[in-house]
Amino acid sequence: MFHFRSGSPGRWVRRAMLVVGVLLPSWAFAQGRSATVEGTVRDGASNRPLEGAQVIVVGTQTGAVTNAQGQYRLVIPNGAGTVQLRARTIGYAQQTKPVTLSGEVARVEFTLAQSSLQLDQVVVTGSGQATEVKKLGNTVAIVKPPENMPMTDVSNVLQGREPGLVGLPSGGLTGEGTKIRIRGNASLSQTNEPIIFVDGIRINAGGGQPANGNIGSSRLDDFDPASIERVEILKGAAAATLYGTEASNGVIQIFTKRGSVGAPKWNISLQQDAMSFPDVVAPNAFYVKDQTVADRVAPILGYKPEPFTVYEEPLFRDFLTEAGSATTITAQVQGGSPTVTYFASVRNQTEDGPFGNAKLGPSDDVARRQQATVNLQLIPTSKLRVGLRTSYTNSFLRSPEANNNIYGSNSLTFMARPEFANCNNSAPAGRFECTGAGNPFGNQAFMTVRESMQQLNDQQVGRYSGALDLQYTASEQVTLLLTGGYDFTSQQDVGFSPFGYNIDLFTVQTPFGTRFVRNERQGVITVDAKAAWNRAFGESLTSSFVSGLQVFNNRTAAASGSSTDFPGPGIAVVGAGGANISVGENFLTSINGGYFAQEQLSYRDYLTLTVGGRYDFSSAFGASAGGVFYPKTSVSYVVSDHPMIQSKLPGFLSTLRLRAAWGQSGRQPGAFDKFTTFTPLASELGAGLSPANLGNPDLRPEISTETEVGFEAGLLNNRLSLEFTSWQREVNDLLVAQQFPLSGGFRATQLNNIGTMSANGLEMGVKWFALQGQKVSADLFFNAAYLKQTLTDLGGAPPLKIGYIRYRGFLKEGFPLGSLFAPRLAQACPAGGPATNSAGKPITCYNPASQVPINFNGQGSAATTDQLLAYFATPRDLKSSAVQSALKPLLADYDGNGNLAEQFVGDGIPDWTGSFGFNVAVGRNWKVSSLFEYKRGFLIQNLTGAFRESQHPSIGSNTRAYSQIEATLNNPASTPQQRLDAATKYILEHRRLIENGLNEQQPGDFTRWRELAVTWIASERFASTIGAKNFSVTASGRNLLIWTKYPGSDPEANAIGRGAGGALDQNFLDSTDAFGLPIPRRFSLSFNYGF
Amino acid sequence: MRHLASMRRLGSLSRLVGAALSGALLVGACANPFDTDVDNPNAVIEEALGNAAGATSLVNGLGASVTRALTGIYGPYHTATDELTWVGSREFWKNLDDGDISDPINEYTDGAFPFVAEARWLADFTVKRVGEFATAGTLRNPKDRVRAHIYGAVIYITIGDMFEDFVLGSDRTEAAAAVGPANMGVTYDSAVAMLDRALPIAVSTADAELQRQVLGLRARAKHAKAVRAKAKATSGSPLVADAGATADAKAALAVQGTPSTWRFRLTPTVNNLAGINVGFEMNNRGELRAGNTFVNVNPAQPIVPIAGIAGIKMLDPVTGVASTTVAAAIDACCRAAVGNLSPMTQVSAREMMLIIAEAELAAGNTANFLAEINKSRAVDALPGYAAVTNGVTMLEYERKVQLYFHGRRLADMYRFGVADGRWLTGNGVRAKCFLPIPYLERLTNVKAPQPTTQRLCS
Repeated sequence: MFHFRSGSPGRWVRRAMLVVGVLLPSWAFAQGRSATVEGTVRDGASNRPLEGAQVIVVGTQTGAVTNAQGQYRLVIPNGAGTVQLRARTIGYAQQTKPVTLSGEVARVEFTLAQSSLQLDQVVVTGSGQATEVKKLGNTVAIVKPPENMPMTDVSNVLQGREPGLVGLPSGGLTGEGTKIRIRGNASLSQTNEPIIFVDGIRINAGGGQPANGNIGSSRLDDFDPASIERVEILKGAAAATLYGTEASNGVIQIFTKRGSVGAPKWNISLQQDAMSFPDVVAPNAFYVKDQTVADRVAPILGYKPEPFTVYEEPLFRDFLTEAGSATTITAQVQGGSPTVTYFASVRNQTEDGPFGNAKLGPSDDVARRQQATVNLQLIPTSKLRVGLRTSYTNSFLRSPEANNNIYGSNSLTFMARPEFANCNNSAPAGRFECTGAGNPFGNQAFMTVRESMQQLNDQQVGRYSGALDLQYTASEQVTLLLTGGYDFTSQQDVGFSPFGYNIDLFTVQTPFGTRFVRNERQGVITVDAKAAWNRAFGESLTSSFVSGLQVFNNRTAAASGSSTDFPGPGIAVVGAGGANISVGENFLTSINGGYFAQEQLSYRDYLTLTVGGRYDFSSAFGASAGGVFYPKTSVSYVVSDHPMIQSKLPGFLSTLRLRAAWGQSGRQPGAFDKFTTFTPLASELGAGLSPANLGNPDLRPEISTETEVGFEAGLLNNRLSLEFTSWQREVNDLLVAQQFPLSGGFRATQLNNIGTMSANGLEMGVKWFALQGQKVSADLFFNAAYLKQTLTDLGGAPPLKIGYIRYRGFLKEGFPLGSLFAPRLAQACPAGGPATNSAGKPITCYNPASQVPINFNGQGSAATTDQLLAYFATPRDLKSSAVQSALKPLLADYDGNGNLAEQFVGDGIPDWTGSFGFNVAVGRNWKVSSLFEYKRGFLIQNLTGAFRESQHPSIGSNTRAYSQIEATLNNPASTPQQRLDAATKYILEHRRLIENGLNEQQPGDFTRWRELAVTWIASERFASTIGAKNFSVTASGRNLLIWTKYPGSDPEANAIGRGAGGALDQNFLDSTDAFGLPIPRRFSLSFNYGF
Repeated sequence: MRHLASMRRLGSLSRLVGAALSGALLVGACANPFDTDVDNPNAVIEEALGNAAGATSLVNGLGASVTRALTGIYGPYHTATDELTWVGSREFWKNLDDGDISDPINEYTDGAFPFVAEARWLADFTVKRVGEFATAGTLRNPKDRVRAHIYGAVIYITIGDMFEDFVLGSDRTEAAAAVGPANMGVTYDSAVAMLDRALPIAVSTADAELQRQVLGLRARAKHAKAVRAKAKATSGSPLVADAGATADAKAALAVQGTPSTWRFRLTPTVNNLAGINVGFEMNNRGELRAGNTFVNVNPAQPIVPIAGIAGIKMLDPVTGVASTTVAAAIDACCRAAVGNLSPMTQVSAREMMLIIAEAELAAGNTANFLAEINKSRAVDALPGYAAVTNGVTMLEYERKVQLYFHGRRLADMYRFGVADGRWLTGNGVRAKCFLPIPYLERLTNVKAPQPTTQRLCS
């Protein structure tokens, strides 16, 4: 059991640093005599030193990484004779040079040429052994954390870097997690998150926060982004086949930094951030109907409003935001000897986000993380390499009640109506302040903002992750690899409202307090064993064969308790509650295991054919069931390396590779989905049972089959590169959560393999090293990904509704995934009369010259202006049920489905996503980089707007546009024509919520300036004056600007946040904006000090 | 030499490993060598329900399921009556409050229906399973069998009282057709049949409480069947005179030791609340509160009634002051202090008295009516009526206040011709409609009324 005292991890980390940073280097350098090679790796154009470049002795385990001055030092045990040294780093073409070893220290200098193509880059694919990219027929993306852009979390490292990989931030509160999608959705009912490995072991990459706050964190963010060396992304089934079941949404492999031979190199980084919400939340607009109300609210407003004049008060901006700040300190050390290298990193991050107001209550958005990583590489003999990584994270997250939540501080502020502000139980004490209990913002339902701000939601996580990696070179041809690891998460979530938190005497929601506690322990064990057999057949043909097995054991145990009604103030334990006492416990174990084998046959290094497969077993089917076989094949042809064709290529075409891949992967159902079960349901008289799962003993995994073809082209000496991939995916045996007739007694849906869905997409990337001068170099990049997904067959199951009734997402046969269905207003009749729908019936329309699309008193046709002018001869109150009923919208059946409430309006998954940006280096001292991210072709259901621009009598209805309509309709001084004009505007734009979804879908297209970083790198001379080998300062910003026509606060905010996994809303509700907070701007200043 | 020897050994090892892995791959193609069987300690698989030792748990589960169903369906039903008023944020409560009861896509009707349907199915399943235990002689406690029938009767009566139509014959994945509005009397018949089977067993156990529950519910079922017919009728007397109901009501009251305050109610626990339950919507979320005809509202906080008797608007016709009966009823169900766990009375001594009184009034025996109705008032220590001025009005009033939040009100409003001031013209309650078979059932059951969103009663 972990304990979470905040001080203990720090002490643990310091001790670990002492051991690794001091003792190990001493021991490492105490080893025997060896040959030494030193040198520098530089950029060929600018002569700038390259940090982080790998220099290896070809054919051995020996290697080193350059420091900030581009220097490396290799110590080769028992080195003699001539060996080949190879230098490589991302963004450059690799270079190989011979060196003859002697008793002297040899020097080898490398100058690498920039290359926008990375075909020589070595990656670790599903086979587990290193392979050059040019031999793979499928896409493997490599993401290296930007050198000079501070990364707040791992999600930041991934987002916007690679076409087809999309990060979906939930909202703007500190600690909110990001969902990750690679090539969209490969499953309806299962999680669409990719599976994630860190240094070869599977990790818990779940999310969610089970307390009541509606804030979801991502467990991926437990890992220290500063310790990441690179990330490899396998997109989809064709690339991820060897990962077997669960890999159909792709695989993300994170590799942490490792040490290099040499004296200890320390790097300390201090980063200070400031954050603020952009001022995009619409102010609370209001008007008063008479002087009495004006007199009543004047002391709280600080002015006396004129009746029927619309005023605005930016309550969220003025009362719920603060200057956010964060401090991050990172200390890293690396070094080692030929037999032992080490890397260690500790990081402490404290962040108080831009939400909060201590005067209103303790609720806040706060994150604190302490992270420690230690990596050891031991090479006890020339044939054996041992890798050992261990990392520990202690994190704390505090969140307010937020997002689509009636007790949310933000939503209550959004819904507040200043005309109802009062200090009925005390006295006004300033603008929207009372001396004591009151309702100073004018909340009309649920609770006041001050009461909401008394609620706390905390998450505390202790996480250990360790990996052991053994590589034994049994012979020149055979290598044995064994990886084992354990990833353990201990998570506690608490939701707490203290005794008497109803400080305004308003809310009836458990005024004597409530507490919810949930503890979850999750452990993932990975065992991965394989053998690789590499051999050559003559000079032309090489073979690389690998075969092995993997086992993943995932165990989760959770216990929870909750209660309400504490006996007095100060108590904060569940056991003290006197009512609604509830406890729960849940266990889940799942085991997946499989064999895999792959043969990679290369002809003269330019034509490679790969054939492989995996045979998988899963606890979803039990030990008695057979396994599932996932095959794959791919071909890669580097045309420009083919001697016969090379000379025939046009001069500007430096590199050309064609590739194609085909493969399968899958997702299995839950471990218990096959059983018919009854679940505990206690009555007032004792323990009981009720129907739970219908069961289906014939369940199978759903199978994704993906085909991709593409090419890479390098032009102008690879200064300009083009990458293009076209892919297509079919998912068969789709696991559909089928709802059987409820009258049959089982409420829960049952997974059945009855559906199919298809998807296709394009991924394009352009990179251009536009300038490669000694003083200035600059590269530009542009990425784009197109995605189209269709639910082709639901196997006779009824459409699936996503979320509750106000969310208009559906999954219907023949429609795009994430489709939105909502009522649609009748439109002006086209010339020649009404059009007909697919059922052959005329589509209801109206004559705009004399009619308004109002179904007046349910008459079934458009109201005439004469009818309405007569109706508006007297003022009308839109908050009256009778008026709302009289002014029904005239709806039309465009789809011909006879269901006016469900007309297709579009889908919420972007057609196009991508990013663009640049990196500029000026001299040796300045670097500037920037990233813009965009999404195009999708709708957002603006539920926030629906509340704030509706006729609702007790909440919202408080934007300027809506308030003006209501004021006009209510004002006795208005003319009937003015009222008619206002009513027309109301029906065309603002009639909402009564007919769920009407007037709520809005284009979400946006381009966001995601990152900008400016780094000054001190000269070696300056650095030495402050005792450093290298020193740099970076000023950066995130989420600086957004260009969008979306009228809500932020097109990236969504209603559901980063949840735990595969529920339909997690998969398909990303484009519903319901009280999400805008993504804040972040400005950072960081100092990096290396010695 | 040693190096060469070790190389040879390693060469042999690599061949061995390669061969072993290849062999394992072949074996793996045929059998599962991994221990992928896992235990599920979270639920009971159906095969385990054949153990008679679990009969009590089955019956308790049915009781919990029925209770949960009532917490769900009471919200939409009572909101459509004058007993509850919408004061919150969600439009489908408002629609019900406006009297729009027939909309199949109303999220609250749609959300509560699955719990009602589950309870109906579980009632049939449990009654049959416990009956099999009894037949096999393995049932340890015969009272479990009585309780199964009682819970089953409760859910069948509720369906008859609250729904315009219902699907009764579906079983798991097999869908059945709706019985049709004209045939909804079968729900009461099913309840009576269950209670007929339960009564001799209850008598044999000598458990007076169970006997009262069986007899009282049987009176309710018979009376409610007649009330539904009266509610749907367009003319004639609104009064019910069902001899069977009257006889059972008298028998229930005659069971030894039955106090005048006796009532059988189901009280939810935190474990058996519907996803959207009436207690939460009233007493926590503040979407609903006691109706405007019953309570006075604090203008500064319109989502709750004023505390205590000062919050009661409904006046007693005899005393002329705020009704203590209403005050007690609202205190029991509809105040923040109650929270989510509003108890739901299924049958009571006072309802038996009102059934008997109504039969006397229908028969023209006003003196007996006066005596019986005053007995029911005496339960709350209220002075009786001095005379019968308008028997129907007196009966309607007493049922309104004494059976507040019992799920009787809508049919009474229909048969007595009473409308809520919030009902809008043209809505389903004007046509005496009850709750529809909602959208999700129609979507998943092609034998249910189609199209999915069409109002079949309006």
